[in-house]
Amino acid sequence: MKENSKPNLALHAISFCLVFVVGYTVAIVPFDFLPQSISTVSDDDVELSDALKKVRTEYLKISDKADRTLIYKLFAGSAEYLSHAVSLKTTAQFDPMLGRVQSSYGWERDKHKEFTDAVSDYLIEVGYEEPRKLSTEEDRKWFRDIFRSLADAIKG
Amino acid sequence: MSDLSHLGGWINDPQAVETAMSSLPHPVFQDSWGPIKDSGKDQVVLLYNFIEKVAGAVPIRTQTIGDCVSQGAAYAVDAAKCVDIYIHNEWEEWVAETATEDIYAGARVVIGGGEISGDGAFGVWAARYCNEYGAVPRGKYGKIDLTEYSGNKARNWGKPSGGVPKTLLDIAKQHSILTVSRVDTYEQARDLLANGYAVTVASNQGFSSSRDSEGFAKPEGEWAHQMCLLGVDDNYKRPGVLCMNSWGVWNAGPKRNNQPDGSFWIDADEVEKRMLKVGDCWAFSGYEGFKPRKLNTRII
Repeated sequence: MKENSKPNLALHAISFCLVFVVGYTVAIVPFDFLPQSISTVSDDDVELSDALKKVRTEYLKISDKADRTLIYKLFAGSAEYLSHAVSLKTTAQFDPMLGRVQSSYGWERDKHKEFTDAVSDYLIEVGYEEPRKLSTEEDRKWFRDIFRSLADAIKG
Repeated sequence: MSDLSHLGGWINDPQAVETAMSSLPHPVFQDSWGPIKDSGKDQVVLLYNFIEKVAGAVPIRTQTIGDCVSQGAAYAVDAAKCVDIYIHNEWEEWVAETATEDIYAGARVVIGGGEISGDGAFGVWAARYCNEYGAVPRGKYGKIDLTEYSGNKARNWGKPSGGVPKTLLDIAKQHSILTVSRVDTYEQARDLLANGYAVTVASNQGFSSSRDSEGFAKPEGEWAHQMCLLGVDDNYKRPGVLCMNSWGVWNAGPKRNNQPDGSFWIDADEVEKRMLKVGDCWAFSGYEGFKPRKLNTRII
């Protein structure tokens, strides 16, 4: 009987990588890319679903710029990580990793309740709630695009 | 180490076992051995490692009454679950270690018909209960709280006038063990373990509480007891099986192959001669598990 995976080890490794990716985003993205664009976000030329518009609206109500920056980095970092995370077998494996990354940044979920509500509504709308296997490239792209859409929705 | 043999609860009655197993579709593994015969030769397969990987740790059960038959069966169910998830990639999730109180009552009352007044059961009764009804993970089921092991609850439910609460029985039926089959030789146990089947072992054989330098325990004393085999190492100079007891950390001594606390290795010839040949040892495989729950969407 062969073992076909080593989830625990992989989980730790992936978690480490995700921290790295988020950190990497912080490190390499030009300074003016995040804060300035976030503070001057405009609805003019962005095609968003109603759920993502709500995410964006609630995001813009967050007055703490540091929180807004970190939220963007978490979504963008997640999308970036999921572009490469071929060892992830199911969508259910991702949330614990995201939670650890958030903890490492001192982030507490539901800090901005209305924003969390809006993100939750969007995730339910796109089917995130139902756990799925990540068997094919299409599955992975679908999952990655959830986070990419969130990042894009709050990007200026 | 203290003598815990009073916690034994297996009843040696070959005739009763024969009668109880007659309704099983594949009562004797010998008859269906062919497809996997010798597949475990020279193999090392450690089911407890799969449990550790899926559940995070191997449960260390500590029985307080003579309900060893349910304890051994629960280990076999744990292993079946984890093999399904980890090896067979089944779309299920680990919820918690398998509860024992319902298996004990199910064995004694639902299958056994409440014939026994004192503690104890046959191995075949627990195997049949898990197969014909099922087994549930520890947790709360309405007003029934199986979160923590309770010897008293097991004893009360296991009384002839007791039984498994109906609501629990209905839930258990959705989570059955798909096949159980009697195992009679080391080679059968080896091939079964190598293919992800856990094997309950019931006998009157006791063992030393001190493991030797290779993790084995010497047969000594008498225990009317059921335990569970959770690993095989047929590639070692001393071929043998890993036996998991349910007395907590009751023994000591060197370990091998990352074996769990409370366990010991048994030499191949000893397990066959002293345990498997008794005729109440059962292989469990396939568990109707729990589909993954919905994901938390409050992620930020």
